[in-house]
Amino acid sequence: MKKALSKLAVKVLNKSLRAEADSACALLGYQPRMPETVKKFKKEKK
Amino acid sequence: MTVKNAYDSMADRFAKYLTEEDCICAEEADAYRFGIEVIFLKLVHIASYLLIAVCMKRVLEFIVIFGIFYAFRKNTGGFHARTRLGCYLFSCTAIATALLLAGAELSGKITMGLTAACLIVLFCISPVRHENRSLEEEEISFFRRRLCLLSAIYTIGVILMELTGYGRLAGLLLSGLLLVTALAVLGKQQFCALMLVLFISTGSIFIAYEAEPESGKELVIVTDCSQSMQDTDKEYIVFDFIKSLYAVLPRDYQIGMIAFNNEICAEVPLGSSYAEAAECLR
Repeated sequence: MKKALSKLAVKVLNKSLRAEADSACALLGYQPRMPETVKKFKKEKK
Repeated sequence: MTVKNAYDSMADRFAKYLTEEDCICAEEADAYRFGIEVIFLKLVHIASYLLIAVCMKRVLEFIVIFGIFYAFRKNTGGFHARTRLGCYLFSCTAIATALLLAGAELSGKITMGLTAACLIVLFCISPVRHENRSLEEEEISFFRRRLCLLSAIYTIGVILMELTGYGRLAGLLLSGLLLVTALAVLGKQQFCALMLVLFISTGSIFIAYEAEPESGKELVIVTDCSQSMQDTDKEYIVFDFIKSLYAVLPRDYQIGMIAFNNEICAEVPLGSSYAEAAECLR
């Protein structure tokens, strides 16, 4: 169960990271420092 | 514990947990840590905006404004405060202001004018860079292309809404666009932009008041001029009183008058000027 939830969380995070890499900045609120790995991540996970 | 520490600690622990569970590899932990923080921030912000919209009884307006804001902001970027708490307070205020502006009545011409002005500003300054989000040349041209497409769709949509009598919806979309533009300008030149935004907001509110359609404050005075009234008002002082009303009542009042005896003997059409009324009542 824990494993399944963790995998689900990773799936949600993958989507969120792709969306972030596809945006000029965070939607509203604070913009945390975006690591360069997020961009590579987007290209790799496409 | 500060807000920053709380967010950092939560994101660190969750990313570590995912690494230990072999759901992600160690090299990706940084990216996932960023993802966790962003998701959490978004949840907190969106829940707060919804709460504001519910309190202001403008949930539908919020959905429309936020939809437009989201679509444009992805491509334009814009202002972010330096701290999480500062950003939270600022963005809640910005959303509340946009919801307040959403109640303003604007004519089609003003809506189109402000839309054009916002789009021109966005074309000139987008995407706005931020120190925490580096943008490569390839990304910049991609965001600009997408902004062009979005603006074309938006403009066609607004024109169709104005033509088909959905001006109120166009006004709501404009609130979202104004919010994006204000934050983009603010992100570009923070202090000067703040002045500009204040100027535009004041101007918009002023225009909104000016553009308010002539409201239905209509006053028709019916005067009895029959023989029986001769004893009471032989000199027709009532006409002087009616003329004085033109001078006293606010501009948005439309005044008309009908005087009768056995038939209509004088008539001042509704909305006549003081001069026209004076001519009729001479």
